[in-house]
Amino acid sequence: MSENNQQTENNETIIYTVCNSHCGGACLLRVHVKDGAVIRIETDDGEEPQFRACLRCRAYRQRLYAPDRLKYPMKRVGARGEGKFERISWDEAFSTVAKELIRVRDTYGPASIIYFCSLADIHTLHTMAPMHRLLCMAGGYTPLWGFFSYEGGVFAECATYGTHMTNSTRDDLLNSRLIIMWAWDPAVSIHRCNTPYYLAQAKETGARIIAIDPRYTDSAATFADEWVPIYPCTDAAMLIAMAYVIITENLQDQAFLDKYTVGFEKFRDYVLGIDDGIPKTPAWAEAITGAKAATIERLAREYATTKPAALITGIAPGRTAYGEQYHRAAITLSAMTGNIGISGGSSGGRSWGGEYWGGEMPFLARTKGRMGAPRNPVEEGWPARRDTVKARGSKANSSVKINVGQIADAVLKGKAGGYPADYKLLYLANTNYVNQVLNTNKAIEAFKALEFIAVQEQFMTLTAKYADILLPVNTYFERNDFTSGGATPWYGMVNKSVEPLYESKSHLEIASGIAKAMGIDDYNDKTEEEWLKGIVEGFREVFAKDREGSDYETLKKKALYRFPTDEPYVAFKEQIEDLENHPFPTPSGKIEIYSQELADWDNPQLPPIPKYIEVWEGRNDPLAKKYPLQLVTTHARRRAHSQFDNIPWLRELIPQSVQINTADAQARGISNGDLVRVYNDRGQTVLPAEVTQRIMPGVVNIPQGAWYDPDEKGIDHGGCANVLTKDAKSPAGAFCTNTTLLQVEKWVEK
Amino acid sequence: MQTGFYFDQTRCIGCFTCCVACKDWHDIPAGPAHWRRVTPLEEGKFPQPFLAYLSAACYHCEDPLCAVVCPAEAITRREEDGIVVVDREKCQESARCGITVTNGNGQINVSACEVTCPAHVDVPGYIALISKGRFKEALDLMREKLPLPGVLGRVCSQPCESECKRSEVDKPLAIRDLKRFAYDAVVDEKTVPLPRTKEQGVAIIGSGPAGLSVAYDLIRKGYKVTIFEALPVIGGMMAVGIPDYRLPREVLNRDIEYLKGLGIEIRTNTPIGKGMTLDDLSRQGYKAIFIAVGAHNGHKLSIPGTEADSVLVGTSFLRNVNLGNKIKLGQRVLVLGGGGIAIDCARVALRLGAQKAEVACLESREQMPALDYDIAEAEKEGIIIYPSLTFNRVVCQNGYATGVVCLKLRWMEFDKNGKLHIEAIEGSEHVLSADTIIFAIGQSPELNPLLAGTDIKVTKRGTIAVDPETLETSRPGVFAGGDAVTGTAWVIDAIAAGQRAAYYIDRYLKGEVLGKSYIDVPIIASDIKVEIPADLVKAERQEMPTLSVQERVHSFNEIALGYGEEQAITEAKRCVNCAGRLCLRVCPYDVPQFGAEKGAKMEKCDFCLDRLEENKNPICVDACIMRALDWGSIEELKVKHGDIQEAVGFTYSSNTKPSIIFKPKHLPDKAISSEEK
Ligand SMILES: Cc1cc2nc3c(=O)[nH]c(=O)nc-3n(C[C@H](O)[C@H](O)[C@H](O)COP(=O)(O)OP(=O)(O)OC[C@H]3O[C@@H](n4cnc5c(N)ncnc54)[C@H](O)[C@@H]3O)c2cc1C
Ligand code: SF4
Ligand code: SF4
Repeated sequence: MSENNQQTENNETIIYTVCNSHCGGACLLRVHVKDGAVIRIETDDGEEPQFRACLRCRAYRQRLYAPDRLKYPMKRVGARGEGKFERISWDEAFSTVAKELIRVRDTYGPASIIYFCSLADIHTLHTMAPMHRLLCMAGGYTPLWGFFSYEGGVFAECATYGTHMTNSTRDDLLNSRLIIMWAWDPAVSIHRCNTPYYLAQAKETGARIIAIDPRYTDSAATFADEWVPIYPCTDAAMLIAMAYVIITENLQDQAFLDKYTVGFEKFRDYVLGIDDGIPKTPAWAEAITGAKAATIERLAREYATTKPAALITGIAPGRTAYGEQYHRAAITLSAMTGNIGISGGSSGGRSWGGEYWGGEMPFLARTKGRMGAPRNPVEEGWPARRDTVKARGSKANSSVKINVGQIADAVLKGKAGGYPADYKLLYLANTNYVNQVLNTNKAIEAFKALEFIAVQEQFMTLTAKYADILLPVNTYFERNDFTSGGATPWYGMVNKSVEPLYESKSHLEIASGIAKAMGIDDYNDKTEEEWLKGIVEGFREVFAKDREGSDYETLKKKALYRFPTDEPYVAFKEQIEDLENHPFPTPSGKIEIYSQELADWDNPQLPPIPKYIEVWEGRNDPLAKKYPLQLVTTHARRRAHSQFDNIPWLRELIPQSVQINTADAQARGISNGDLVRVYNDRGQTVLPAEVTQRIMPGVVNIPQGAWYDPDEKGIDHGGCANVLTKDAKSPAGAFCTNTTLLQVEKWVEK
Repeated sequence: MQTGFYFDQTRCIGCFTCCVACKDWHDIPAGPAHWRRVTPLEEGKFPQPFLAYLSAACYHCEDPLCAVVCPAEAITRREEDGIVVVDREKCQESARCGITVTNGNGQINVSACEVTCPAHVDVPGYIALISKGRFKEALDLMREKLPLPGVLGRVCSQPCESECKRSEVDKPLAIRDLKRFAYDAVVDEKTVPLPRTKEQGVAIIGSGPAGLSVAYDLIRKGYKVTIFEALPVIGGMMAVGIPDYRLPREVLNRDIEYLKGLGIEIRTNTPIGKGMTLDDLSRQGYKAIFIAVGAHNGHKLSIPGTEADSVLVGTSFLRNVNLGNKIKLGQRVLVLGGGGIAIDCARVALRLGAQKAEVACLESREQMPALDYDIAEAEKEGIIIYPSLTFNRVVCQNGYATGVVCLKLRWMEFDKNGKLHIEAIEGSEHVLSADTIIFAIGQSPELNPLLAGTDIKVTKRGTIAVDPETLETSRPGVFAGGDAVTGTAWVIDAIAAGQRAAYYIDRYLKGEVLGKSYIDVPIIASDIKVEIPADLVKAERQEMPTLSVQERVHSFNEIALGYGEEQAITEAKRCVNCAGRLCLRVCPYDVPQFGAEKGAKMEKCDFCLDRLEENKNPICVDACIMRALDWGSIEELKVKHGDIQEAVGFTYSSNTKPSIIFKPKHLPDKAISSEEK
């Protein structure tokens, strides 16, 4: 710690580190440490572009020193979920977990072990890798597939572009003349450090900005010239109707389509209704989306005739049933307007993730030096899944995997229900799974049925309460790691600020401890520092070879290596400028509006061209009679998913509440601030109403991530959105958080 | 030099990063205290809402009133850069800053006087300003809540005074007299028309205090307000009821001129119901209506003889006097009634030349609703009061009254339904002789033809029926308040009703659910306990000089003469400052903040003095992820950022230049073609 960073007069050391707390950003922190304790935090105050941290990092001191942190390993003494635990030693914790892993493996086979490590901190070493390596060495486990956030987007990108690296750097927004923020609220979700700042600058330099969203978000309010409200689950319909206008008015960039895409004609026939007899006119879309036909027409013309124009597609509409289609349609529209691969345009790919050098997921970039693992024996011999395209990536993308949202279903049904195994043991890290998965109540039921659950946590979350063994993991202030900025072009070191508090340990230490207790002696022979040096070198070799300031030693001091920023990086520029030498990594080498691979699957729910498919629990579902309101579960400004919900400085800023339109509230006799019960057949939650004109009638929003907090009767008072969501998955695995019907009523204590 | 902040409202996304960074830097615990505050401002209706954020730390006033009133002298303004700093050692330590406690609930920071005031005027705040010689600022602070400080300084029923905790030591503060003093001390008050920021207009029927109060609050919220008044004069009962010797016309007129100066339009001689109707108002585009027609219908008792010519009704009598109409009055006037109106009728009769003016009433002396002060003054003027009587008939001769037959009462009481119960003393019948008899036994509103044939409901008592929370009538968008709803009450009650109605009318116009969201002070005075410091020295209450009785009874000249400056300051210094936190009370921007813990000290931005010393920006400026904040000398900031406005808000205008400038966000252009609507 001492070698890095500067010393101030009053005996404070300032540690440079980076925060990447799954908050959407990735920003520089300058942590003031005195007598071994963090006393305050500053952010970047150097040359622009500065990477300024948002409120969550600024409050991190309260998280680090939170009185409710888990301080030592514990074993459960009460019933699952009751939250009664007893302190144990690390030795006991390691040996219990080891014994259980061995017992379950030997009794039921390794496939009955599920291991899931989510993101929490988007780091490289202290993340999935250590436990994955251990379990692969110990006989294997059942892994999960799919991203909670944007599986629909990744699928669409891979099907259409053959890659999911579809984003330009954010400074390229300054070159756009028109920016369409489709369900995109970076003012809250940040979506890469400085994104809101670039949007403000783009607006100030004259770009027209349009927001399409069920809510008048802070981004819409701050940046947009126009807001078009749209019902959830209907975005693909509006995009397709825009395509209709462009086609019928012959505004498409035909030269671009001819040169760079395949299958446009098939899409055109669908749009015009030649194959199904339904022309996808703006009037057709108005009835579905709530957006006025004339608005759709005008926007379509504007998008087709303003160049360059960036259609930035947020990932929330992708988190609906058939969310894949929305992303496919957006990419198709970007191709029709010829905005791909040009500065100021956009690929229409996801607004977050998939940045140009694999930077967003540093653990995914296939550079050298990373902690590897032997092949997972459980995956051996299983065929590839049929609901994902090859380009989706992983070689081991086998059908033994369970979708990330389906643990509960798999546990409850097992082999009898068509799953590859019966599941008995669950090892979780970096996730408040029960709180954050669809249908929390079903997850609770499933978790009660498991034989053994181990959870690595910092706090007594809902998920932690179901653990048999709780392993206190430290925060990124107490360990070193490597990360990157995604669409803000840097990579850097997470530098440890203070020694681990209490008895908490890092991921690597925990996995090593379990390995030892399992008798796997060759698990790991490198120190944290050795690993990180290797990781930096591997990364550097690919992305910043020989560049000054990109080496390990400098990063220890400065935390960041900033890529030269004279020109924005533009996704697919290479392909557009020189297709011959840089074909798209698809089977055809072009952008696949029509995908033969999808056609071969012959699954009407995953059509080869983008289509609008009506969702279950949509506005026309008969269920809407009973549950007339559609739910969206957005990001909360003061949380990163469920992280930070317990931090007092943040809690006091914004109460957890359900946003409801004034008209809907009026009809139910609800005033702003009233406690209301939000319910459907799956669950209920009681929380205050935020009555506002900023959400369209018929739609309510419960920001996800609030901690489930049941009363004696089991009714949640924390405002946990997932007591309401349905645990169905979209055909290609999109997580359907925004496809839910419910009702709201004034809460009367009974 | 004046150091200040720049805030770019067009960039702020309301992310609160500045607030959290500030808390971290200054190590302020979670809780209500925020040095930098960010608050949303939501307007408009779906699908065209408007949202902007307001952000302010301290304004570092050129003339910081927080420093003026702080009893511990903990706040100072630095000459070199204009930064207002707090000495946290001194804060709350050496001086009395709050002695209020509730029943076991620990310290609270409200005083008995302000919770009792129906309009919750910041009494301790303006008294502190008076005690420091800041009369203009005291008046400004009153005006934050009160549309009619001049009137109230004269005739307020002052419920607050009877709750004043100083009476545990000696006598209560002369709150009303201090209010009057501050008002009189400011001679040339100017008003400028307020900007209209909202499209909608509101029609108000009646220009009494209730109507004026609604108008005041709504025009300050940016609405267009128009008052329709039946009479040729403005002010309702303040103009045609309360006599000049208590409320000189000039005072009422000054208050009214002030309000008109803000842009409130008042159309006199325009009764609604005759000619123009309620529906006409809606048709003319008024989006909400407030009915405040008062209670002007005086009654006579239904006893024989009241039809005689010389039997009058108090309210009509006073109205005629006030409007300068000719009145026939005898030499011996007997007023029936125990309220303030009865007392006023008698005193007016005396001033009009009656030889004798007497008051007879049902209530015992203690039960009389008239204010003790007014009864005492009346008695000084020679008015005799006959309490505890019931009246059987008016004795008449040749169509003229000669007296009233009365019975003495042992006991009387109104039950909770308002029904009267009496026990008369048998054989006590006697006649009170008089040649003119004035009934002043209660009045009710005149609701016809205004409400005749409409769907607006009326109570059994003949008042307008409203939702007691929102004051909305049975017709949505039509609200009512004041005497027309309560029956004759007091000016301050009418003002309080106006405030409540204005709050809900605003919500109504914004399309919000009315609900129960009006924040009334939840504490009542009797629950408030104070710990009077043992060393508090007794101090005489300053009595206000009055005209001699001889001078009074022959003219309508004002009786009370007002304090001199020294007297006022002496009286103001008697305030024991029960509730403390005077800095917060007088700050025009509510900047000083306090943590939730007991004895929490004042928290306020100091521009991060420690960082300035190291040549760094204040932490918020460096934290803002939108680069929406800046700081420096105000002059330099103006040059650097151009296109700016000075911060708006309630300001002590003449003495204070705000030190915050900002780039405002405007409603977006609604350039959407008509076919899309
Ligand atoms: C003699 C007397 C002395 C008083 N003394 C005091 C005192 O010392 N202190 C105190 O606090 N209070 C006193 N009051 C009471 C106080 O004046 C009233 O409570 C107060 O004025 C009520 O206010 P308001 O706005 O509800 O009605 P008002 O003041 O009565 O105003 C109602 C107005 O509506 C107008 N109006 C009625 N119908 C229509 C129509 N159809 N169209 C248009 N306009 C219409 C009326 O002409 C009137 O101007 C006194 C009252 C009287 C009569
Ligand atoms: S804004 Fe308020 S706290 Fe700040 S100097 Fe002015 S009066 Fe004092
Ligand atoms: S940090 Fe900047 S953008 Fe965020 S609330 Fe503060 S002023 Fe607004």
